[in-house]
Amino acid sequence: MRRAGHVKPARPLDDGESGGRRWRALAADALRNLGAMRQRSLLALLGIAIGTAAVVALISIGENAREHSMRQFLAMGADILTVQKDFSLSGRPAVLTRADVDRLRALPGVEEVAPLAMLGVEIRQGRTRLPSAVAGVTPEFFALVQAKAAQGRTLTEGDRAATVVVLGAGLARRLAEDGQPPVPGSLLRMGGYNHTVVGVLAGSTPNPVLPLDVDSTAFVPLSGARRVSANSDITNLVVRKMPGATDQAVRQSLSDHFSGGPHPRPVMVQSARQLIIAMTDQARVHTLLLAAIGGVSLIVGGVGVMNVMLMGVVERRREIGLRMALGARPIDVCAMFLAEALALSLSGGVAGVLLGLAAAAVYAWNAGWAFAPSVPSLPLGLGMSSGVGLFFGLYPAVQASRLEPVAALRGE
Amino acid sequence: MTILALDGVHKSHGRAAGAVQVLRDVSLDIRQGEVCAIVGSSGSGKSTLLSLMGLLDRPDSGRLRFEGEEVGTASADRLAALRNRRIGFVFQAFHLLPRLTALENVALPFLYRGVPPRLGRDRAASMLERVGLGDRLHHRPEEMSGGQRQRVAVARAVVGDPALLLADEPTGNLDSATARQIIDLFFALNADLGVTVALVTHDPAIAARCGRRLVMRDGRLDSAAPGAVA
Ligand SMILES: Nc1ncnc2c1ncn2[C@@H]1O[C@H](COP(=O)(O)OP(=O)(O)O)[C@@H](O)[C@H]1O
Ligand SMILES: [Mg+2]
Repeated sequence: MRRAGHVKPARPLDDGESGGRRWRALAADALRNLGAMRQRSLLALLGIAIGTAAVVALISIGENAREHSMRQFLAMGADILTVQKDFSLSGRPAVLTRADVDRLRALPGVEEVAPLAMLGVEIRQGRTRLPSAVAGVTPEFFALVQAKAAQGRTLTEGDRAATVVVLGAGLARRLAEDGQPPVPGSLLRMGGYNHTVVGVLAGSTPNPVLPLDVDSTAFVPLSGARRVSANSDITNLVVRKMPGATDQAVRQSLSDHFSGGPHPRPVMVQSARQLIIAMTDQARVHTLLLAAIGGVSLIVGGVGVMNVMLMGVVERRREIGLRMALGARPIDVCAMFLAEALALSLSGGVAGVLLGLAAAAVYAWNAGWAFAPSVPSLPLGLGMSSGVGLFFGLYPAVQASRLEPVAALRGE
Repeated sequence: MTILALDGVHKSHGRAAGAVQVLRDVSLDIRQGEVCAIVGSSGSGKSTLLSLMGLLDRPDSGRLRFEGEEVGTASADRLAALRNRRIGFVFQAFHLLPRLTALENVALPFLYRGVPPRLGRDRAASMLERVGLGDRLHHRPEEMSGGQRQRVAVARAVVGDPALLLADEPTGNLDSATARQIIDLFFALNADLGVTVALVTHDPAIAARCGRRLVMRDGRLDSAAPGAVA
């Protein structure tokens, strides 16, 4: 008899369970199962991908925007403060004078002070007429805001009485006549006088603390500002503090200068650092807000995952019963569906991260910023999508694991 | 030696008021190495009995012992482990997973044992050869005939070296020639591996071949033929 000769095979199976192998095999199984539900999976995957893309894109855009504005400040240095008349208070607005400039220069912690008269006039060159910001400045102004001449020169002490003008790079481009921007030696008509262009500045990014954008302003000597506009009072004082001086202290002594004495004058003192702090705070709030919006889309995607999984549980009752008959424990069934939900949402997450970075790159390119992929958005995007998958996959998975093997087999 | 013992088992389906008493006071012993046929008219409770014997369901009352262990009140995990290692199932409708190949279907029980996948596949391949499907390892169920599918299912049931093989009308979906081959396979496995077989059948010819017949009648084992030997 064959049976007599039968030797029972050794059964190493009863011991030697290997957890790692078990989970790896379960994961492979999950991926195969997902492939079978391709079409519906794809829809849920799309939801997760869009949600993740939104989070990643918004965070990247927010970060790039913040870096961009930081770069603007750093271009001119973060040591600039401005004093301007405070029009918000009742009473006569303060008058800023040349004497203030000298006295502020003597304050401790102050390195340089430049007066500024903001005017708005129409510039004419040949047939071109362009309303433009014009600033009456003293020679120190250019060094103070680190503006350099790309052609010609900036203003000097010798220009005090001359009808000369220095143009910002952007303004020069806009004044181009037949494709020829004004060059040193060109004549521009402002306020009824011909002004000779003596220099065109190198391009620069606007510094939010200044009352003007250097790039799109025409600069004339402060003493000649009256020729351009009837009202040529000093509107602002631009101050550079010494690198060692604290922002707070310099702001305080500037304020004290105007509020002290028998006739206090209301002024506003603003510093670059103050603005930087306010802007980063604001950017952080924006980033959080935008991330929350992305989170909502992720949740919508998560509900999609839950739907796919719940329908899968219903459709695969027989399979669940069969697997239980073959020895799957409730936790194995739960793990199978969780792994599927995780695989689904994680592949959506990967697609979403790529999509989000692409969107952020396009946005940055459009806005003229330098694009740098936001590093924390990668783990955040993947983490959020897999978290969503696990969270929304848990209910269907538990439902599946609670099926009775015999009922599941009948497919009721 | 008794492998499975039912003692005064009752089982009803459905909820309290509308409950249907399906098994009434069923007691039986399945002895190691035997081939046992369970026969009876449709609705007499054969499938219900088999699901209790296979630890897929629990009795309402009465005792159920498997290899000496009281399993009526065992945990779900314990029952799963016993089903995985000690029991094999064959169903009328085959119940193969359509997207898996024959080899993967047969290797499925090893997934729940933590057996290395390669070892599981090797054992699945040799079992498929054993049932005559050595040339169909990588075919999917839809590419196979009914008889071939049921062979795959039989291979899956015995690949884990179970003590008890349960089959619920395994030939119900097959023509008579193919059915004979499947039944031959059961007897061959019983002889080769020593696996105990209990199968539900409507076919008197098949029942006649089995060493023992249990007759179900309206939820009771017919005591007129208690463990009769052919
Ligand atoms: N889940 C269930 N709920 C209610 N009644 C059921 C259920 N399963 C089976 N039954 C009933 O129990 C009886 C026995 O069913 P079954 O064990 O499948 O019989 P057999 O396999 O002998 O045809 C039948 O009357 C059937 O309608
Ligand atoms: Mg039946």
